[in-house]
Amino acid sequence: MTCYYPLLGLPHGIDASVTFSTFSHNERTAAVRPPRSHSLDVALYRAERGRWRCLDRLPVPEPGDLTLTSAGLDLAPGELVVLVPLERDRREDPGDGLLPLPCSKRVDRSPVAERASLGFRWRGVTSSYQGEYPVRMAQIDQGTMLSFDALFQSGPTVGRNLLCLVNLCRQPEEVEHRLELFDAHAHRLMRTATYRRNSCCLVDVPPEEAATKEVFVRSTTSLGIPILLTLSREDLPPSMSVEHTHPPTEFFSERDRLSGSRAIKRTWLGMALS
Amino acid sequence: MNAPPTIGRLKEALRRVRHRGFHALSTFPGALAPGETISDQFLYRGDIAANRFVAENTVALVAGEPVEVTHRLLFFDPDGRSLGEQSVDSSRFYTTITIDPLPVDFATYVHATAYRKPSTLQRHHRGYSLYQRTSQSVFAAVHGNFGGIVTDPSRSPRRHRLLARHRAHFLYTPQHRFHPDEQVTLYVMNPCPTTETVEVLQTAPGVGGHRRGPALTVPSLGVRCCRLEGLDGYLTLRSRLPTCRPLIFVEKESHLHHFDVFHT
Repeated sequence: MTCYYPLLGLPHGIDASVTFSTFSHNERTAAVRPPRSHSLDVALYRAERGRWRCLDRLPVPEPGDLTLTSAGLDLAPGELVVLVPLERDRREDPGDGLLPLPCSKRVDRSPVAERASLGFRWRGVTSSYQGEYPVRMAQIDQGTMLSFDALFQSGPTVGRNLLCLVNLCRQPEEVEHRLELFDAHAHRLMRTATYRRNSCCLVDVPPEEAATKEVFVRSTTSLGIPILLTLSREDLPPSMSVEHTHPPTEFFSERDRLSGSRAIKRTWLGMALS
Repeated sequence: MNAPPTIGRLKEALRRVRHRGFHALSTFPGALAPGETISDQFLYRGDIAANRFVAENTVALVAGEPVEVTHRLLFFDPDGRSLGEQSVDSSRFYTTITIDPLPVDFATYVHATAYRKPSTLQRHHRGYSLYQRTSQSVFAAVHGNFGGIVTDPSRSPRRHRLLARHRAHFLYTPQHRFHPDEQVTLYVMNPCPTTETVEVLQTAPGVGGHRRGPALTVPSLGVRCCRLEGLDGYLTLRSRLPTCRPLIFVEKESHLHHFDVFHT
């Protein structure tokens, strides 16, 4: 499964980064040796006025890595730049107007999906995770997204929860989507947020709200990957948490993956909210 | 015209056999019995302020309304021996469980659920483990990683079916650049029915080659830990596990509150 890697513009002084390496992540071999290294470039793309614009194309030092930060690219909150790995001599523009397809570092059928390190730095501390945006999701221009509030925190140390929904599509045309946050027990709409295709939708969820409600999130028009960030209070020493939520397919073993996730989505995406 | 389902299933079975050397789980795991669930393997740390677990109530999520469930966390010591369990009753869609302190530095656990009426859906518990470094910190969250541990909460907690398998040797390189000022702690958990050995190799960018680090021998359902300092580059884990994904904590002596946790 090939992937894109999103670099996010975030508020509250959070500097996001992507570190992409030349090393294969998973391979079957009897030898005791370093992982295979690939000759790759990384192209940076941003959707502007309905078209993809290539901001730059950078060689990844081999064997090694490349790190890009949102501060280095001066990204405003909500902006999204996409890192697209490409073979060293490959032309990046196929001429069809779509975001180019990335190359893969896979060398065999080893099971772990490709990743880069997505980092988030705030007040001198960093939280990171191994992340990606699968091409198969970016190929879909109309979809649905459902996520649950498992990671919103409350309590005396919590300053804020920030939901960042990353929406990426190979099609660059400007389309507006709507995100709904609702109380899962009362079936009551709490608030909505609009966001453009190929951006990140940012929603603050105060800890007091997370303490008293089970907050679910849905979109009936777009896919997306929700990332939850929790920051400590500003008057406390800095600490943070960053994680993405499981999609509904992850609640079921292979046999019931599709039927189970469809059942969950049917329940919550079609639910009338007051 | 679509092929009949039987031919489709036969082709799928042949494909599984052909590529079984890459399967992290048993090639033909068999169906779950009613009430059984599959769980990832989660880490407990006894040397920090608190541990929590976020448990999902899948039947309630499917129904769209509260459903009574008993969440059970079953604990194992570093050698994979049962350490007892903790149960919480709830009807919420998600329940955050504060884990009672255990008499060990670290341990692993799995999540099982029991409903009054067993669900027919084959459910997978992949929850979130939360780590609070000090009483002034927020909890650092990390989602379930790997496991394939089948539990039936109506039976003895010592009877589990382990679906993870070892195969030929694999290299796994977390895509994370480590820096010399970091204190890196790896927790390698083993959900296989066999004892497994994991070798740690260090690769420096720009230099090529590698340096051999420690080798960890991890019993079934157990966990081993190693601490590394002065790293400058990448770690590669060599084992017979197609999916060998330690949990990693990164701290810094120069910044007491730096506490990055991620699954690789």
